[in-house]
Amino acid sequence: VLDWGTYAIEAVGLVIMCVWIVVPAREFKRIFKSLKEKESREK
Amino acid sequence: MTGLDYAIVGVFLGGMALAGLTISKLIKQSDDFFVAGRNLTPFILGATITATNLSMFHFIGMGGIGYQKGISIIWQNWTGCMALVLSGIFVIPVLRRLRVRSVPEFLEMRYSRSLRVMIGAFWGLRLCIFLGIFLYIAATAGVVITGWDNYFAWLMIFSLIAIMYSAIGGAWAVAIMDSVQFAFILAGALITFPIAIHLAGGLGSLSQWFTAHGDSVHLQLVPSGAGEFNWLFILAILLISTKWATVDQVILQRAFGAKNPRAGAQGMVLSGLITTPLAFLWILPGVALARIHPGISNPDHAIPWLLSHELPLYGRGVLGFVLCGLVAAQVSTITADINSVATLFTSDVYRVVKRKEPSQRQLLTVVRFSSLLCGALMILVAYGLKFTDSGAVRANLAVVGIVDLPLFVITILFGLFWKRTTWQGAMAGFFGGGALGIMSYFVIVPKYFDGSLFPFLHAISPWVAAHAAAWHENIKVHEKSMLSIAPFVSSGAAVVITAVVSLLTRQKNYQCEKVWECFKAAPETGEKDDFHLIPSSLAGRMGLVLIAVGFFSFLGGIISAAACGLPAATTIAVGGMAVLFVGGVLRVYTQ
Repeated sequence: VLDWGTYAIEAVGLVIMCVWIVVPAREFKRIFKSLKEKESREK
Repeated sequence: MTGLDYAIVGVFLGGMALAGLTISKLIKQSDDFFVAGRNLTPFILGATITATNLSMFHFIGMGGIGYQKGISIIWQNWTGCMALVLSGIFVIPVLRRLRVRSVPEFLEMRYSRSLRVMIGAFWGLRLCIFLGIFLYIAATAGVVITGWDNYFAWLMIFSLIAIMYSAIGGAWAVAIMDSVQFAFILAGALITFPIAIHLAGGLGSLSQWFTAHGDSVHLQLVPSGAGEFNWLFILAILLISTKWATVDQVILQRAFGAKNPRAGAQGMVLSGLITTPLAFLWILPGVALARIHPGISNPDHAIPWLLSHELPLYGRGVLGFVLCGLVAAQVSTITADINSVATLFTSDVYRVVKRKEPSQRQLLTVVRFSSLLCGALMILVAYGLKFTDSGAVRANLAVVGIVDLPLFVITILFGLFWKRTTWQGAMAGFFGGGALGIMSYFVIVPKYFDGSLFPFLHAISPWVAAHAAAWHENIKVHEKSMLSIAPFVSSGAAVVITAVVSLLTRQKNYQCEKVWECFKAAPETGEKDDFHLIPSSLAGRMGLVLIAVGFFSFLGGIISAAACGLPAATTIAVGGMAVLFVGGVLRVYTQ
């Protein structure tokens, strides 16, 4: 037995989870790319 | 627990250890270990601060209090979220601009070197106690869920994996793995929450059940009457949360890893914003369990019971997957804390006491040794906690209420906002506030008064002991509110002592102009820094107005519940909190 309140909390949780998988993954990728470039320039 | 559940958790733990080893390749110098090279962006910070904050303490400890006392424990999270917004906007930009790694480092800039070493060592030990409480929850959950009654073995399993990857991978490992763990934590919570609500017959049915059983306070967000987690508790926890978000080394160290002051502020606000709705996911299963299976005496055993008895009925491997989320929550917090303790011991004690500047290699060796030492202390504390019966949440709140608030008083209240404060005043306020916080327990709680204080006073003077006993008789009725009273005593005493001692002493030739300069943007650091405490745009100023309106509406809601039991008090308090969040987002994303 689930009501709208439970569905609403689940939906908000799912949205937050999806956003926080996609965005940090892209940002880490960008950070490591720039760190690698910086390292190769220093070499 | 089935073999499949064990296999899922085993693969997850192995994966985390392997990730720690891989990430260690990123560690080139000590700043990489301490603050992830100061490269972190707002969304990564939001994830890492949230994952660091979330632990089994929330799922098991706070869920257990939800089971035993009701939903109002959720304010421990919500006031923390509001405090993250306030700290992100008003405190983090100043501290981030100073490019400090820890709060004691700021205390040296502001007061004196000796205060830095003393607070660094004290705070490191304090965090070890905190870690011990966390480890105790994890091991207790391990025993109840699996049925393998070997508490010490569970301590070792949880601590070894956390020590290993935080000692090797440092802040980079914490930041990257926190982001991964955050997804696991949420996934686990999103599975458990609907199952618990379903078993309780839905939220509507749950509400009717509590009303029919004369226990409607269980679902009151702002209880107006007497009780342990009532309106007074909400005000006390607001004070504690403000301390947590402004001086807690574990949270600040994540924010110091921000790529610039604005990113730090945005990360803090985002973390507060996302944690607020998620708090229902770990409190409501506990509340629902009060209907599903009443009668569990130790609140820390309630959620583990739900997991071990109900989850396996919903499919093979479900329990294993949810446990990965719980383990992720626990490990992310323990590793972040170990990283912070290592930073305190290395940066604030070893580096300052050693007169010659150590090499990067020496620093990394010391920081890894400190991580191991911290791990050993944490295991000792967790082992001792097995013999107490007050529950993890109460143990933590008692420690925080006594020793943490004086640090907030001397660092933020006096450190940033009263130039006349001297190092003598700060030191006296810190230790005096903590001592009086401890004293409040001995004066009010009968167990401590009769067992320790009365015999001590009687040995000095029977007349004094008799008068103290008469006074104790009048105030011992407040024993149940100790978690709310002690924070006000320790912080109030710290305020008075710091002010009086500062006025009586003089700090000679100490240069702390740099601190005042950092209230403005400091372009000479070479990094992008366009975040001003007083915004230049209309939208930014509007954000500040909304923050003020939201904060005072929240306070008004809580106080009106206490004063006259206003039916709309909860709506006013929660509405005020929502307005504060809107203002916070507006402020950090505008000029």
